[in-house]
Amino acid sequence: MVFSSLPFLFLFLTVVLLLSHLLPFRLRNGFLLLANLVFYAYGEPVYILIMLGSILVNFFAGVLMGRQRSQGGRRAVLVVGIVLNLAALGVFKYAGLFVGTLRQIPALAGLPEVDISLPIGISFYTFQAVSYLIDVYWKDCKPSGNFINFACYISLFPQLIAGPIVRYRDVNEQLVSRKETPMLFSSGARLFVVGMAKKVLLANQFGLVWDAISADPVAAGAVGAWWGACAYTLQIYFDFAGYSDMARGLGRMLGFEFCINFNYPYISKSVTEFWRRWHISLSTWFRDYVYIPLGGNRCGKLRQCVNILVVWALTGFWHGAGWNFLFWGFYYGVLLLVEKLVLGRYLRKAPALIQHLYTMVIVIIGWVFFASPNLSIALSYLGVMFSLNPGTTGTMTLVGPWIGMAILGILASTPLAKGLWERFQDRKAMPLVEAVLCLAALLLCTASLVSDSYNPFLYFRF
Amino acid sequence: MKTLWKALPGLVFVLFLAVMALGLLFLPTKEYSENEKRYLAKPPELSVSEIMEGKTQEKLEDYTADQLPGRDFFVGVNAYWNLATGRNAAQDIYLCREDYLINAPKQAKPEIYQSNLTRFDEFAQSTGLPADMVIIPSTGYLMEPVLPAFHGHYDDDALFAQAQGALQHIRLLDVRESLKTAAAQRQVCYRTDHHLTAYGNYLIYQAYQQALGQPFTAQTEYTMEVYGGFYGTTWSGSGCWFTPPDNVELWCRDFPVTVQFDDGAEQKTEDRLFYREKLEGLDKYPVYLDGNHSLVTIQNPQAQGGSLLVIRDSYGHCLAPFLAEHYQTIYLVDLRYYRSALSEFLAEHPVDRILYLYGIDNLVTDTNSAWLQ
Repeated sequence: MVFSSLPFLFLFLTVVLLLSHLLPFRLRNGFLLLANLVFYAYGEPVYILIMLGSILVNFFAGVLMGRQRSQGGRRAVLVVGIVLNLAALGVFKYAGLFVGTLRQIPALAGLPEVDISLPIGISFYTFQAVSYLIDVYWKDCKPSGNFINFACYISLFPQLIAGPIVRYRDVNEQLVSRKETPMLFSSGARLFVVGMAKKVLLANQFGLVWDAISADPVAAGAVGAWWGACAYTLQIYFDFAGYSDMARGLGRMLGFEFCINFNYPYISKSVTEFWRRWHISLSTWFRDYVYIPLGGNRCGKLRQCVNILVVWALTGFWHGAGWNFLFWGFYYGVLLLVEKLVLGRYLRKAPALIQHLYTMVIVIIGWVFFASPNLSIALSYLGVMFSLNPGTTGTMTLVGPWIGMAILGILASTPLAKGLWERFQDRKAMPLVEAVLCLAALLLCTASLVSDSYNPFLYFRF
Repeated sequence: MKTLWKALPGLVFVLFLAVMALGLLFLPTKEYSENEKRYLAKPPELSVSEIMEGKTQEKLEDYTADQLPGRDFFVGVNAYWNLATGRNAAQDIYLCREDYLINAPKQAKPEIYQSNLTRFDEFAQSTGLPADMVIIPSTGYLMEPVLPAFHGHYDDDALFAQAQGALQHIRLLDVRESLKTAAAQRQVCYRTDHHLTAYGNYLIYQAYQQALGQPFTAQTEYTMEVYGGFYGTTWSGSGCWFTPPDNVELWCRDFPVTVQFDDGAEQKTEDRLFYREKLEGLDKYPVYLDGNHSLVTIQNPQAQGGSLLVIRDSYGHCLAPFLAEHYQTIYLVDLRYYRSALSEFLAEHPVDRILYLYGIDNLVTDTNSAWLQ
């Protein structure tokens, strides 16, 4: 089930919010677990078994680790636990890609084709589980002794399918006791509506532009191809950040506080800054559980460079099972190194406009690798962007109708609205303004979702 | 009270969800949508096997979308929001000046268009009969001056040239200029529908009769009936509910007819060209010859002319009543629904001429000419 859908809003969420606030607190985690399972089973009626398996394995790994007297025993449990988690990810996410690539070698063409569909959210909940095991190993948190609470954590529906990646050590106290106030609920509802507006009113719409242009970039021409890449740049941000906002908003409505995941990445003045603002829960996960354990910056420059490349290649690969994702990660790894070693000191002296422009061009080109089905399609799309091809569709036909939306999108990706809100939030009438804006956004989002299904059927007789 | 005021956004959120959910669960299920001309989804039945396959979930999505309280209201909100954010020219249907709702240019599929032309041409050749063709230009092409900024390009001229090149055994009549010129004076295209008005059809009828060297009735000879409140297909598709409706005109002449409708399983015989009971709906276009049918036979014993086969889409509904005055027998065949061999039909029902009558949008997308044999 996705948040931006009518059954989620008007059936699932309505019932869950109602019951979770009516039930006594001691029953709530049990109810929430049930809701999580219904939510997940709705989209993955079969693969829910994998998630349940993951919950069992990690819960008992935690318990087992807590009972080990020796460091060696703890380490053994940790290694087995991580291997099991990554094996599940390897089989269900990457096996198809690896075997498919091997099959292209003539001698190995006889390998069976692997066609496993990706279980929804496996990348997220697996990473949450791994962080739990490592944190328990590091004694940053105690192993969970309450199966329902732990299962509830792994399967928590607000962040189950698109993050943020929440760590057990950050929420374990909230699982045991959390305070729910009307104000917290209201701010959660507001955040959820903001996120839904980002997803439905912006991301989905920019997606139409990207889909149309990427289907035939040559016809769109150079300007059209840039326009399409910019549209995708806005789409992916509002999609992802919108989802994170919705997740945090839902969390708050249920009494949880999740970490912020996006902090206006497109106002960054360098690639380094961009990655501090983009998908923060993932970058910090890789920093804490891969980069630092590999030695981080403590083992010399060369080792640090290797570590950065490894971490960013993995970050890229985490985003999808395709070589283009690995390349996309590597692209950023190299750029981060270039900034760190050479470009950074010059960049800091450049005018702010140049810094922004430099960052956005790199980001936009990066998204072409990310969005294209494979590397060669990405390269041919980039070929059109860096050509003098005027295209055949007519640039203004592609660009003109979307100018208003582009302005809206660019403004919405800056902290402008947030600044305005902070300035006026203490005014007396502010709750009313917020309520009206919430209602307007809810109406527009519902309208957009309903219209997706609106399909007049002309030849109806037969 | 103060807390409640401060938590107003949350309250509004909860109320909105609750109202919609209650409406969805307790309002009676709507069966049919007149705007969309389709039956709406019903609540899915629960079955374990369908849930495991994800089918129930899909049905639930359809159900919530179809039965959501205020569905048409929301479609309208979305349409006007798209307009307000400058996306008129990005829609499938443009809201144009003078309240015209006009289909965006159809993405022509060159191979479909070419094969339609070839099949028509080969069929005409195989019958050995004289054949003509009228391609009705798109409304956007005829009404260029009212189109919004950044609209797509209507390729009618290039498509017409392609047809000229492809048709060897069919004479192609060119109505483009006469319709364009006339459109500047009087309404030739509906504002809320993709078809031509009765006046537009009269012009085509006139052009056709003139091309054959046959007489035609002067405009002043018709008794005119005018009905308001016509909301056609582009209105339904656009969601721009505030667009004022069109009028439909019935151009009546007094001559006796028998009209036989044959849809394979269903047959009926009538003695009229106009079906005024269809004026009760929003879409009044079916007033002409009762809307879509696969085979319609119109007989007028008083007519001077012989028999005519019209291979047509829905643009033919409105044209045929004009022609009926001059031909003893007209067979109207709609290949979207007609599934028998037309050559066998012609062997049993010989005709003197063939007329192909198509809207350009159908001709570049519809593949049903494959049934022509």
